[in-house]
Amino acid sequence: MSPIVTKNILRFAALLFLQVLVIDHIQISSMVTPFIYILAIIMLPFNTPRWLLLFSAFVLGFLVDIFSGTMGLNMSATLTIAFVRPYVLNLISFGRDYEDEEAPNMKNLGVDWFVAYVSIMIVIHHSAIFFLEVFRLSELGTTFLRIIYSSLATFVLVFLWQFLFALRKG
Amino acid sequence: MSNLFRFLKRFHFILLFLFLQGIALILLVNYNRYQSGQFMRFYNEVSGAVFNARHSLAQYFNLRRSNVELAAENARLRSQIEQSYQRFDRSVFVVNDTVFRLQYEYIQAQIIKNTTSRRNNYLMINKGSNQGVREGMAVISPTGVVGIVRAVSNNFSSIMSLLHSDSRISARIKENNFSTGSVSWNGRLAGISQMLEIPPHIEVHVGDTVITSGFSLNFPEGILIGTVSRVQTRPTDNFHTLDIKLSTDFHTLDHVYVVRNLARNELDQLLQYHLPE
Repeated sequence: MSPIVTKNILRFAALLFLQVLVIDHIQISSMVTPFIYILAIIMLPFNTPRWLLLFSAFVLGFLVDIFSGTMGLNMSATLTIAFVRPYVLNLISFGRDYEDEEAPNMKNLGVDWFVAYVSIMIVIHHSAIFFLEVFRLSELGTTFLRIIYSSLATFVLVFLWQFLFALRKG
Repeated sequence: MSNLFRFLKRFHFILLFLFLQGIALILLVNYNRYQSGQFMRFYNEVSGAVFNARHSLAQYFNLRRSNVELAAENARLRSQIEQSYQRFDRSVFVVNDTVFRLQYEYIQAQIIKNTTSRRNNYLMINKGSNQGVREGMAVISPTGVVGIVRAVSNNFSSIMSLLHSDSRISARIKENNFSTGSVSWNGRLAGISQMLEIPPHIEVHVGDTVITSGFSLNFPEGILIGTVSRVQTRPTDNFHTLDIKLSTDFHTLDHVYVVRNLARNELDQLLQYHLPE
């Protein structure tokens, strides 16, 4: 296996365990529920085949669902961001051609681009998950607050992850 | 035929997405129907084993607090045992065993997974059908009501917490005779539940105690739920909405008891007569 494949599988597993064994057990408030695991989909290399994108999202969502006792919830939201990922990348390319094999991280593409990309993906994922979880429109205000606060929390965690792993030299 | 392949090749991304998303949504929508099925039993057993391992490690950090809580409960129970009561002359006070019949049994369990920050919160405990836990049983803690057992596997069970949108606990207010309310959770704050539609003639004050009513088949009467922390009165018809500060601290919960109602079968049979055909 090429080092890139190994690296992605390791990241996938690390994020999954971080989510279900650590993050899910830290109960900050009902408004703040970070989902760091979606970084595994966000950071897949640009040349990942599209079917593989969907398939990894399906498996990742399923595994997270098993551990949170929520059938299909994380699965559906993660599939959604895997589906929109190519379109989001197109939208914010600004004419830039993503080089092959290059993964979308801060080191390769700069802080501005990375912030834009990650925020869009996080907000789409969190909107899907919280609306599906509530499954009614009567608690609209609370749900919006929940999306905003949780997105911010996830965003902070994503940046911590970047500083810990992706920005290291070597 | 070649057109079909070309079509599939061209639209494989969106078709695959719709297919997988369909599976996810079917699972999501039918979640309640799967809960007692074979699939859920497997699902409980797998995640239960992982969380059990995690809990056996994390437990050490809570030992001090758990000890204090259990010691407090021991002290309370000790004050209720026979030796603690003054004994009067036996010829006057005959202990008549036919007056009391054991109706509730308690199964001790430990929580291995607990969420409080979702809209629909679940807990998982390390006792299952092998230890006598069944679907629908009530779960209480040393400090109050916790929830109701929703799914059971051999050695683990998942419990619908009070902090769940489907959770309704039949309750009454200790200080007055109002006894037909139900406690539910609006999803805002993890320690505060609500009691809705209290009629205007009922007098409620902040600080009143809310306990289980005993009208449900799973909870014994008089288990503490919480205390009234805010009373809001609707201007149009004077109905009250109560905020209830739950006595159970869901953030630090560790030891719980599953309540087995020994009269459950009898009550179920009786109730069948009232069900419509």
